[in-house]
Amino acid sequence: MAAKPRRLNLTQKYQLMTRGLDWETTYQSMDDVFPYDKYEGIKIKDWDKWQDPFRLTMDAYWKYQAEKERKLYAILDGFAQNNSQLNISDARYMNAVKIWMQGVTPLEYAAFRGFAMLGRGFRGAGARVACQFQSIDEMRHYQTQMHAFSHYNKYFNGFRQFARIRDRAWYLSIPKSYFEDAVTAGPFELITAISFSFEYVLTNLLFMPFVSGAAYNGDMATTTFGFSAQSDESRHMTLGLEVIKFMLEQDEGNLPIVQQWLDKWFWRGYRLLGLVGTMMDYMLPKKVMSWRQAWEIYWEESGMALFNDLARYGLRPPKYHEVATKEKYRITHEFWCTIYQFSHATALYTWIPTEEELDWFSAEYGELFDTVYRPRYEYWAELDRKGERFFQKRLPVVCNVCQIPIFHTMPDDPLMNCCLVSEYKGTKHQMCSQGCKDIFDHEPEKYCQAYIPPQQIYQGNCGGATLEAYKEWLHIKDEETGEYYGSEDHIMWEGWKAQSGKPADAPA
Amino acid sequence: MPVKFVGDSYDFPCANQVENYGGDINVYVVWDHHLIYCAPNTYRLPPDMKFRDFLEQVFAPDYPQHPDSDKVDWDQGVWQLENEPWEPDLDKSFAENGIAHNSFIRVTTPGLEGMHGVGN
Repeated sequence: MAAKPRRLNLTQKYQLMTRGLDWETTYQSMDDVFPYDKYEGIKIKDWDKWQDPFRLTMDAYWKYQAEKERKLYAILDGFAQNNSQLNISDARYMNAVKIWMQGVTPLEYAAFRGFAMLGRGFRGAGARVACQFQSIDEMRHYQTQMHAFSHYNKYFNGFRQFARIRDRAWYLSIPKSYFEDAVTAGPFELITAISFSFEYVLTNLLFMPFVSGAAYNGDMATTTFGFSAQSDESRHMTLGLEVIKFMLEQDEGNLPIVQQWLDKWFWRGYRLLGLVGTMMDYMLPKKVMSWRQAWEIYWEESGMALFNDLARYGLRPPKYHEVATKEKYRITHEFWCTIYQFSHATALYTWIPTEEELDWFSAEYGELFDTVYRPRYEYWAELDRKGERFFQKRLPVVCNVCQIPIFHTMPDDPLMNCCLVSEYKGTKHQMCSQGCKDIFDHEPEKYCQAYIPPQQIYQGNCGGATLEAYKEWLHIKDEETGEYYGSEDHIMWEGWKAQSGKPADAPA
Repeated sequence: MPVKFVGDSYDFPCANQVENYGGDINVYVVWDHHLIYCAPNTYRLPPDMKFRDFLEQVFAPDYPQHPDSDKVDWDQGVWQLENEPWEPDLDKSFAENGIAHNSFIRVTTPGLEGMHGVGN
């Protein structure tokens, strides 16, 4: 009588379905099969020392994800059928969702591609499998976000051509260039940039404002996909930490390379998050917490505690983190002022904060806000009342690394723009900060190729040399840009609220 | 430290090289302490343009909604080129003033420090 087949326990099953499928090649050299995992200079002596951060097999993965999908889509259906767009706090909130759809959702797709490359690129099977799972996660996040937002696209402007403007619009070159910088690096830098610097170190600053902000502002579609993504995100964070430890434990020569990547990707991530902080401070009608407070909790406390833990590997906190901390009182205001005056060239609406909101800013940001930004808003509001809504018509100088208009001010002088210059191959390049300048100076061969929107516009590559021609090339229509008050979104929202008998500006 | 790469070479032209501008140059200019206009401005211009013509006919009109823009006297300006002190001759051209492609010029105007004296 045949023995009853023995059930494998989880560890055995994991072993057989991941590393058990791997082998040392003999017909071809391993270096030819995995040609990209050595050139960055990272030395790995023993891939078997890789500690799998989560032991997940494909069959279990499908089961968990399918369960989450069923719940997510049931809620999204209910959301659409119940006209739940009426429950958001205010139609101004929708601009936070637009900026997410235009700027961040495409990053999920870029991450899917990036992790697919990593899932092929590393010669260690454990690392490959973890990256393959993450690749599928990222594709799922891209899809679920698009599906969650598609309901809003039926009613609100700014969603309809996110893919085109992602490739063309000046303000979306900020997230786009961030990810393209990462995927054009080698596999170890890519995984350090995304899994550690972004997902482990900075992700709370992204998810806190966005998902909590969505919940607080009545956006159950976004809240639901946020929760659906959360268990994936915790896997991604664990992967990030394992990668750093693995590289540093494998060879002491890896330390300076990893430290330089952490310096670079902290700064790039911080610059990118300025956009998220601005969304959080300005686009959430019901506030969760200010950028200043989030920075204090998630960077000054948690981030620094993490780097204290990592000191035993020889790592120090990333360069210029103290500059980022100095900027916590100004970065979101400078960013909003920029989007406000250039919003005629975005698929977003902007506005001057209400009196009540200005008071909240005063309480959260103190003296600098009261002396500099509040009077600025009051002046613009006065122009607006005269029918002279303030817009900037001239193209700005843009940082050659982070691709943000150089609205940034000097670390110790918030009244002076900071614009630094590096020369390479006889061409001068402008950067917004010492952090971005260091990144340029380390690899000028790479960043001299950057596609900087105002330069490309003047070279005639974006439809024409004027802002109007550029807008046409973006396919952005006047009715989806500029001032919020009086916009199509605003008028529609007021109409809905009038029908429901609630005042337009009251929380739902 | 140079970039690390796969293959034999890694050599690309600068995307913003002067050759891409058909004889013109890009010039970056900021009027400091007028931060309601958030960033330095970018201009594509012929290098033989007189600096004063640029300031009066192109640059000043880019600050139309600033109350200081009627009061400015560029001859009183304090100038920097690439963040270094610099004394341009306003009646000479960009080229004659040593302003090359992608030069960064900043000017402060003593007495005009923006609204409320806080750089707005």
